[in-house]
Amino acid sequence: MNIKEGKINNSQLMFLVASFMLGTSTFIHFMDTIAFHDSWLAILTAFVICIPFVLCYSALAKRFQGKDLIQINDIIYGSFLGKIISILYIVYFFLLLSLNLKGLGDFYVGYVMPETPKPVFIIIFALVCAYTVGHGLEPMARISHLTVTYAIFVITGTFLLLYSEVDFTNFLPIFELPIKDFIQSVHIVAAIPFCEVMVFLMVMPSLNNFGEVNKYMLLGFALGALCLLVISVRDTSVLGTSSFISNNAAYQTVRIIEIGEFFTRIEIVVAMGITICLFIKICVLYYITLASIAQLLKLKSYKTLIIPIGGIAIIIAFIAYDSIVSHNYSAKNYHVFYTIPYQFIIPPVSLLIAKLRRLPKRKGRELI
Amino acid sequence: MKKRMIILFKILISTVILFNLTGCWNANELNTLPIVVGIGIDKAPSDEEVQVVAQIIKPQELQGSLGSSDGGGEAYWNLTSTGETIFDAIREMTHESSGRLYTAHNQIIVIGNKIASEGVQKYLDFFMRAHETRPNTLIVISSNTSTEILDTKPELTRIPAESITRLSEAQEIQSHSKKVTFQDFTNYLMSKTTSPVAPLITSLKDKETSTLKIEGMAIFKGDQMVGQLDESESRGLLWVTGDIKTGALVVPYKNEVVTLEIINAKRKITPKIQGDNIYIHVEIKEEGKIVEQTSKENLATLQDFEELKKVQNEAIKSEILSALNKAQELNTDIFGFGEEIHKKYKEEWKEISSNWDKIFPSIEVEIEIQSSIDSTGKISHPAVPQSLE
Amino acid sequence: MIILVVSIYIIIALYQVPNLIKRECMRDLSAFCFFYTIALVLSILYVLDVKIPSPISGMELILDKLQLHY
Repeated sequence: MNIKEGKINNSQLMFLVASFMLGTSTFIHFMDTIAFHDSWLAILTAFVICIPFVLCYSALAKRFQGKDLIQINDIIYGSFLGKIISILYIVYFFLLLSLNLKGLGDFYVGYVMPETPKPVFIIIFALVCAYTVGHGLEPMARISHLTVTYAIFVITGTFLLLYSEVDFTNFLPIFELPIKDFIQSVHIVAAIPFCEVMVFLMVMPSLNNFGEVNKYMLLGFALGALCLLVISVRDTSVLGTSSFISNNAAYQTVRIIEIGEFFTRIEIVVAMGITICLFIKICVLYYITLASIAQLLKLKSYKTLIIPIGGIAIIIAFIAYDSIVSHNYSAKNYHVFYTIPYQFIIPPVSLLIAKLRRLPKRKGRELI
Repeated sequence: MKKRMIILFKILISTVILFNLTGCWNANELNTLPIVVGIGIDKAPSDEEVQVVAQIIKPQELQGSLGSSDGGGEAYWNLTSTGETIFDAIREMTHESSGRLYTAHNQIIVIGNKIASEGVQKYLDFFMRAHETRPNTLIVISSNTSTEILDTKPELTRIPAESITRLSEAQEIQSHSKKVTFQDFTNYLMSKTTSPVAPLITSLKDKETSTLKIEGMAIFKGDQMVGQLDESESRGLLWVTGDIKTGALVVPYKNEVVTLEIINAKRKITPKIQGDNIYIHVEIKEEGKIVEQTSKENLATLQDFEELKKVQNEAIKSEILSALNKAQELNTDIFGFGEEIHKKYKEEWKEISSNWDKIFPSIEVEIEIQSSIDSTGKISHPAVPQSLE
Repeated sequence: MIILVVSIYIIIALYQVPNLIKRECMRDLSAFCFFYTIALVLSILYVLDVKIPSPISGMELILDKLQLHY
């Protein structure tokens, strides 16, 4: 039985991971209110900490070739405990999907079209994603080349255009934070943009070649992390202290670009970048939620569930938080702890158990 | 049958979409849009409320040739309204204007004197939050009311706000004031120790003509205006902050005067803490050239150049000292010395920043200037009869 | 508004259910019906302005009890 259609290759996986991480770039600005000008340090530290975890995810996928997270859970934890863990994972994927849809709505209403009601963006965007997901994983993987290229182009372009405004003394003094705040900000970066790549445990089974999955997974992760680091460095060095009160520093930074009175107001370029990276992220999350539910219920195809799941996700996105303040508060205080088991406990434990019990066992050509 | 159903369904969907998605929710048509190019903030006559002046351009009046300001009406319209807060006042304006004011092209915010001395932060909050305003908007302080500034009909352009923008950019040639954008001002306000500055603008009124002039800079303590720097003091400030572009230095030399043009200037500030004493070391490297001399003597000699360098050093130093004295007198750290200490001494910073008001007036500043004179322009000797000794 | 929402859902159901029945995947059909009902109920409640408790607040409550937050 195979509910997943289409195969992707290693370089597509790499770009998909990078693009997925870039989609989060707008949602971690609340970290600046904790880490201030040391955000870059927090990102760097989180990157180093997350490398072993990312390798653990890809090692798990490599060990259980062609099996997705739900099947792996069944094999390792048995059918009862495995099912419970799988259900928890599905809830987590589903929440991520809803929250990212909400984040997109917040971004559009806050910065691009402030008078349009938020549901309009969320529903239309969800429809486009539903259409894409209906075509399977391959189109997303192919388009991710484009989105990452565009994002890198925008990031380097804006950095060059802002070169005269860059003031690296804004980073001084280095490491002024109290250690507790630093730990919190590292945790935020590790949990929200970085180790969310754990969801690729549902995508990696569709790879056509598992030989170099570790390398490409890590490369994609490093590419995404590098882009996030450059964005953070650009914002702090250009805006200085005022980036810490800004709700979306990247957008504010690009608004400063003004060359010869006509090359100005190019922030919409950044808005496009954010939109297409978020598009990839939401599509991946959408696909993963559907695929994991379909796998758990042993359905013939995940496509029947596209509309109902999308409908629920949209409603949850509407009601998730009362305001952007409670969203940020919850994200930086609660969400980071909520994700710990999914990202930092279960995958390493699974890998350990698999190693100890010498799983997966082979039965003919089937892995069980 | 089924195929036909699907086609029918698709046509139905397309028709629905056709009527829904043809326009954009936030569509603004250019011809109905009141475009604001300048905003002035004043105290209302009642003193409780705030008065906002929005300068709106009239596109139809702009079509004539630029010089003919007497033909036709004015190309701008100053709309005044009062309210408890800025946003309140701006929305009140819709009673008089034909549409919601479009502020994305606002170039300048003029702050009236009374508001400036009362405290500007609460009035600028709206502009920081609003989604249309841009960080590059300039901030100027009016020496009187902002209405007066925005009412001054300029000679070269047709819109006052535009002329103020050009004026504050043109200032860079003389370096007697620097342009302060909204972005800069926000950073000033967010610093614990640095005092904000902003260019000060006045309207010079004659019987017939009136012109705008930028004279010096306004000094803030916190967000309240407490004093002002005159032109040479402003240049003193700019030497230290590194914002000097070009400018003229008139120095006395051998009973006559020599005019030097600043070509290039760099600065380096190094704070030093020794025991309980805090020193600030300001190092300035300047490059100038002779652009004018009044004496008939040939100054293009090695000795004269050496002497001139010293005189030039003194001139720069006296400008910096005048600014420093003013700043210490008012106890306002306009140079950002506090932030420099913060960047170098993060452990001591906590104590220093809470006592900064006591420390700054007596802080010791060492000024070291290394200037050079590069050239003498197109001629070396002045045009006087040369002796063939 | 509520009529619009319900009619959209009915159209979707009319499009998908016959497909599923024809392909005789009863498992898929029951899963579809289950999630479809949840989505329909949630949408109707949302349109009727009924306050739906957010799942996030439940998550926060549990973490609060466990003292796991910054």
